[in-house]
Amino acid sequence: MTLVTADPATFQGKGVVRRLMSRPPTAIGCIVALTIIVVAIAAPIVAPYPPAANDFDAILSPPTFAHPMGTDELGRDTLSRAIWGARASMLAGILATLLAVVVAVPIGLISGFYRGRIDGLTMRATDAMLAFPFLIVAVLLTAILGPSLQNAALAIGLVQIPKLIRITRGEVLGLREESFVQAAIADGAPDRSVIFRHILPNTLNVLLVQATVVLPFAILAEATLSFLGLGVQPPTPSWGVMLTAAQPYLGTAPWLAIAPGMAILLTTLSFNLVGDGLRDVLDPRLDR
Amino acid sequence: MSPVLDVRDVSVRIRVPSGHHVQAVDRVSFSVEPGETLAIVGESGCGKTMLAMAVLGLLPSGGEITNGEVLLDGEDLRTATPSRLRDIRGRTIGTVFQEPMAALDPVLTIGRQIAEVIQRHEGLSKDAARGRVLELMSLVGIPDPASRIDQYPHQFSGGMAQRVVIAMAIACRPRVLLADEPTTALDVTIQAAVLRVIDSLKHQLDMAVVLITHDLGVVADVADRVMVMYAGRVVEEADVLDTFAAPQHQYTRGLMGAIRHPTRTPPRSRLTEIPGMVPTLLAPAQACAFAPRCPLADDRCRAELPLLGPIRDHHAVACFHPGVPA
Amino acid sequence: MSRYFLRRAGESLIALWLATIVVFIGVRSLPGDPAIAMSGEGREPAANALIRQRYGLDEPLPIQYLRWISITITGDLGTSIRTGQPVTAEILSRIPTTLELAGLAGLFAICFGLPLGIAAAVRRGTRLDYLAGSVGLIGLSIPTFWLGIVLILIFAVWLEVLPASGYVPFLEDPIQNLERMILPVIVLGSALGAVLLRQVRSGMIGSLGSDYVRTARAKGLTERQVVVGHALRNSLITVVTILGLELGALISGSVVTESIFLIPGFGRLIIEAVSRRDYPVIQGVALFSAVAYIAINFGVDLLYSYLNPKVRMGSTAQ
Repeated sequence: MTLVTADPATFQGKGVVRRLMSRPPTAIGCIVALTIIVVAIAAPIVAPYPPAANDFDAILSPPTFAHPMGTDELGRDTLSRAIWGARASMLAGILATLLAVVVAVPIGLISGFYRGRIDGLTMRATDAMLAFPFLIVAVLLTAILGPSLQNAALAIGLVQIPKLIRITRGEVLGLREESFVQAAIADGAPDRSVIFRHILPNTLNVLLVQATVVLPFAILAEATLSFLGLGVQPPTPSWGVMLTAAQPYLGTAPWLAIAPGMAILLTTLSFNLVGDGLRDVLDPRLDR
Repeated sequence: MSPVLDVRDVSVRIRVPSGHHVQAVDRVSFSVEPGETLAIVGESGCGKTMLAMAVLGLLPSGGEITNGEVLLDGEDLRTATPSRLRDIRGRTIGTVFQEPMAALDPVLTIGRQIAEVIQRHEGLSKDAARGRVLELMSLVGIPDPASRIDQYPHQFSGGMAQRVVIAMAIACRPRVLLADEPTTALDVTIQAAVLRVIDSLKHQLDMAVVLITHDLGVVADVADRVMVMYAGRVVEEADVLDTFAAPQHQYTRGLMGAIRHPTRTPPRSRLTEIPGMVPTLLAPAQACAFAPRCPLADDRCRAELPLLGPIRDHHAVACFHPGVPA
Repeated sequence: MSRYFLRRAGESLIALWLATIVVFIGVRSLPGDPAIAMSGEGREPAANALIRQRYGLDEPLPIQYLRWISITITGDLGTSIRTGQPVTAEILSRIPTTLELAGLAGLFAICFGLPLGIAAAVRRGTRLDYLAGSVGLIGLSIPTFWLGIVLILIFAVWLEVLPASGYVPFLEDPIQNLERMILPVIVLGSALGAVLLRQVRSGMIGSLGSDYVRTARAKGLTERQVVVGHALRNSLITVVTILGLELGALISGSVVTESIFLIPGFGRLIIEAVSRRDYPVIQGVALFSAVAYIAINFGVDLLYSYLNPKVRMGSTAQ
């Protein structure tokens, strides 16, 4: 008599990538997203001008050959600033996502595995955390700590933590009842080993999908916060900051608003496409 | 007596995501008369469910009937309009599926769900239908209908839920009852009870029953005739007693050998396994589909398709070596 | 039902209590004189000393919390540093505006997301499905504030058919009020509508593939009875739950929308308070949001339990 004790934690490595790329929208999303990441990293090389370089002969000029996306009120090249702005967004997005994952996953694992009082406490704590809309948290945080990129990332990450805890916990609760985990426990394996070797690998799929949801949100959130003056401060280029600056000149220089906005849209769109694709491939029962 | 349901030479083809076609059913014919139970037997994947779906006009998207006729009291359902099919389903053909709990809508009371069929086909008002629902519930053996009519599916056990499904299926006194693995998801002790219900209803309402199953015990219990399917084709068809007493096709023999009979199976003998696996139906060869697993197979079997032919009275086989002991 | 209700009520209260602790810690961490931060008054030494005593600022932290919560719970959230008006009154005066905006935005989201989601699921794989999917994806990815700017650009600057900003109270002039609401409502409602579209589509696809839908079809029910009476009804439960959860996003979204369109609502109050370091207002706003959010979630839970019979009566098989 054989029990199903085999551990199904197969990440399917190469197969996943191939299946991802087989769908046109996902493939496009991957390529665009990767391009943006590369551009962000290579900004000093890729951008035609430094972000603070003023060209006082060409203030508020529409797109020309020298300045393909026009210039702003201080003569700075919009295209270059948009490229440099990618850095702020990527940085904030990654920092926030990392923070959320590093904090939420262990808590979710422990809460789901041990249940009982710890779990109850965690649930109430996440309820309380979930009670604050993202912007309120950001507002409070920046009021206390002052507005900056790091604090914006902190706020964004904090807000994602309760949701991630819930999701991890949910997965762990389910996995705990699977026969291969029960077998490991019955075998006398120490808790630590069960969690790390059996439960955690099986949550990775879901977590990866969640990460692709968090990242676009983080990018949008950073832009929003910068737009409202709660994040990156001028003169550091950030798409949100550029949009705030573009507002007074909407009638006379509309291109100032278009470039950063398109950049945000492209970035979030591509990451969302990748996320959708990943979800289709890794978790086909969530039929989309 | 003429058959109520007469399926002639039906083939069903399904397009799979990769773009290929699967021949789920290959030129199958059968018929049922009022008051008789035909059991369609075979393993999972042999096409029996697709056959039922084809009769109902409920093939999944990508599926189509490519051949044959489905005659219900003489009317060819294959050419019927979707609207006509909707009228027939539930009223002339009742269906019972495998998982009773999944078959019931979790957010509606079972009374509502049974009444729905009656209201749809007979235009009764809610109140008038309610009386019928209570009658039906008694008919299928649900105790204390008045107190259970407004309950929700999750408040029913598997066996009781299946009775609700049966009630929905026979609500409009259909001519045919299609039961696709009606007892497979139920406890063994409940299975017999549910089969009794179906059997007694058959007599009371003079229905033709098509019972799809992979469980030969069920077949022995309630069927009048048996049709054995393999890889989308019919391999044997006979009265039930005949089939059990003298199976002609090796596959049927294998199925019989795989169950223990209280008196026939020698004690302490091994159950026979049929070696090999059911073939995928991607490109059915024009040869015997069972050949790879058959101990009697020879070159002719692998090159030519055996057609269903009569062996005796009311007993047909599709085999080049019928009845040969292995 | 009542057991569930009591349990959820208890959980909500605990969450609320924990939230107040968070706000309290936040307020105490604000730079500057805590007396002024909490009450908005006390710039003179004499008044300051009184406030320090009232809020127990010289006593251990837990006592401070108790004092603070006992004052706050009566509705006294201090005085706005900027306007000198009671914070509670100021917040309450702004709420109706945001409610109107959020309400209309929610309506817009439902009118646009629900039908498209259903249609996409029913006509799965067709061009309509891909179109709806794309609309949903873009709605999800587009930054709210950019959408607002672009719409202003198109409709107010170039086409000049709608006003770029501003607010007129409904009671003063309903038509002007609604005219100025059109763009903000579209902006605020789009993201929510996109989420709704995707969720409805996803839920409906699940329902439509289920066994009970197959049974419904086998019963000969009309497509409408199947799609609406069975599939939609089942999906709606999840949809309602998700909508409820996303209501918090409406609060966040209203901050941005009100800022762009210069609507004097609750959202804009938040931004104004931050830029002016009006700490009592920030405190009030944080508390208010927490309470509102927890209350909404509680309401959504109750609604969910009402819609889902399994939760409503507990599962007891017979």
